[in-house]
Amino acid sequence: MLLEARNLVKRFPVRHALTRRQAGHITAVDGVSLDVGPGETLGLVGESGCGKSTVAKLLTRLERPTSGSIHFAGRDLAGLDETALRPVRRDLQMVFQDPFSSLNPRHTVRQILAGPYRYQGLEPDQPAEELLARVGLRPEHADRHPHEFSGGQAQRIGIARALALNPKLVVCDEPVSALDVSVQAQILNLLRDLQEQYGLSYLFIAHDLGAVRHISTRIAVMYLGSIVETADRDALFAHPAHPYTRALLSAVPLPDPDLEASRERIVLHGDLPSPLDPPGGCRFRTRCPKPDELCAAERPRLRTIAPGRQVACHYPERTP
Amino acid sequence: MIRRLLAQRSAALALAVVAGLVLVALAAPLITWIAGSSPTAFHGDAVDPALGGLPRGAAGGISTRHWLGVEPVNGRDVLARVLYGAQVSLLIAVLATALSVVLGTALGLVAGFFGGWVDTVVGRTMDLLLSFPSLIFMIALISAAPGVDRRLLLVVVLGFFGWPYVGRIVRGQAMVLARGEFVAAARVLGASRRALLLREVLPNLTGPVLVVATMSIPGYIATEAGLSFLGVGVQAPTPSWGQMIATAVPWYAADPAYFLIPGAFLFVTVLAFNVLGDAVRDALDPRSQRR
Ligand SMILES: Nc1ncnc2c1ncn2[C@@H]1O[C@H](COP(=O)(O)OP(=O)(O)OP(=O)(O)O)[C@@H](O)[C@H]1O
Ligand SMILES: [Mg+2]
Repeated sequence: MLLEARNLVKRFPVRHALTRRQAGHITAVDGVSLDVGPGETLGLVGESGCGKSTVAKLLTRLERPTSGSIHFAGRDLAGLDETALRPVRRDLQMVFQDPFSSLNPRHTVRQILAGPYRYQGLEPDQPAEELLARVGLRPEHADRHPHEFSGGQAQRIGIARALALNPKLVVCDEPVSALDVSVQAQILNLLRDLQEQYGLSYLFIAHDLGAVRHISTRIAVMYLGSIVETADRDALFAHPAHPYTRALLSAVPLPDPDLEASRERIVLHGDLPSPLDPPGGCRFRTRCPKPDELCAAERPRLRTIAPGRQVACHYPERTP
Repeated sequence: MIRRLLAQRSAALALAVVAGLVLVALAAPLITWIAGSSPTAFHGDAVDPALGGLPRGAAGGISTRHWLGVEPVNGRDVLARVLYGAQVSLLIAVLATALSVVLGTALGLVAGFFGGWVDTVVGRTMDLLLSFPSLIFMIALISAAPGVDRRLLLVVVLGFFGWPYVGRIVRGQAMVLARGEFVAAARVLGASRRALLLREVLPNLTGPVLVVATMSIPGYIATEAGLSFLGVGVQAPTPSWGQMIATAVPWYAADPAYFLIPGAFLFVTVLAFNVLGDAVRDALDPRSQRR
């Protein structure tokens, strides 16, 4: 495996609004383990606020995990300081959700694309024009500022910057969510082409299954800070085992209108519980269509129910 | 930005006034040479001892020899003193601004970016200085330091009490910028803290810093004039507008021109800088345009 994260936990202190004293903590990531292999794309899916971005920030060490380990390139990144992390960062890059706020508005594209080499103390390996060509932009774009671009073009610049150091793994945190629907497919295709060309691995984060369907090899589904199911892409779409995965899947539009009209929709009731005060036992039980006493008493662990397939549910759907 | 600035008519006018003033102040030796006057030479013949030293002639002794008249009693040339006074006033204001911008930007940037105890220390210091009765303190401090060049002392004292105004704004901006995704992107690339501060955050502060700097210049000009008026600013024979106004006050009825001329210069200068400061802020306002 290229990346092996084990039992990652991240707690943030919560402060009282008036006194500024710590009033407790929020567990944004609660024991997440995941693997990404070479050339593979792991899709990470879950509702807003379930902790996807926090996972991305832990893996890229923008945040320090409260506990857990991150094995990457033969080292545990969890406890490394910034100096020790610097060389590792060449292999581990990130693409951000908002293409504009991730580009310094005061820099030209040329300055932005020189950043990777400069911050690593390297001689520029690729001129800006070359990096722009990789992502389908023209050489004359190099001397413009970010605000002169469309969202899709700006995201291409963000991708070019992430690829400048020839990384092995790129964490993409909802890279197309902020873009027009018509542009989303272009960026997804670009990411796929680049993956093939440079042998990249991706951790691809999205808030619905539809967005990761075409790019992922495997998929992990997150709910309230934890992973509830992981499976190969096709297996997950064909036979979702966790009731939450089933609900997410029923929200993905089908290409065939007859199938779309006839299929069963699972609508989740209630709101996402507050991560400040998660339910005891199974965290999904407040919205699950079929909870019982066991679900209230005991939290299901993520267990392997078939090769390459793990579920955190006391009563998973049968898979063939 | 310059184009947007000049599109506002009042701003273009204010800029012209400021540029004219700077030019005239710089050219003070040349202008006084042409006019054949000096800021320190006494002209006993231009005043009338019988009238208690009142300038001879109309409007404070305006004549072809003394274009803006002469001072009562000692007969020094008012034009020369106003021009050299402009040099002194502008230089003190600009240097005090430079000092407060450097201090305020450096401390505000570090406080806003790193937060934590650094922010607590810098923040409390700024609160303290801002709530201080600084004018009284300046008067006490300057009076208690004899033998030091008053101009230098004014720059240091004005800059020291002025940096929290810059620091407060820079701190707030740096706090917002530090959370920005482009800073996170630079961190993922391995940027050092120094690079984050200087290459990523600092360039985004030039706009707000430029605005506070332009807006603080008139304040310093007025404060310097006030201190000189109170007798703790620039000392004769070095001229300054505030000091000229102070010496003109007892003469305001007999020789109003002596009071009005430096007063008008002070008023126009402060007004022009204020208008310019507002215009710079408008021109940089992201809501009114895409930069
Ligand atoms: N720095 C922080 N301090 C305190 N709480 C935080 C912090 N960052 C995230 N959280 C909390 O952690 C939880 C998970 O946030 P996160 O941004 O990881 O969610 P997400 O799945 O990426 O959501 P979205 O789809 O909206 O991007 C949220 O409840 C959020 O409020
Ligand atoms: Mg997110």
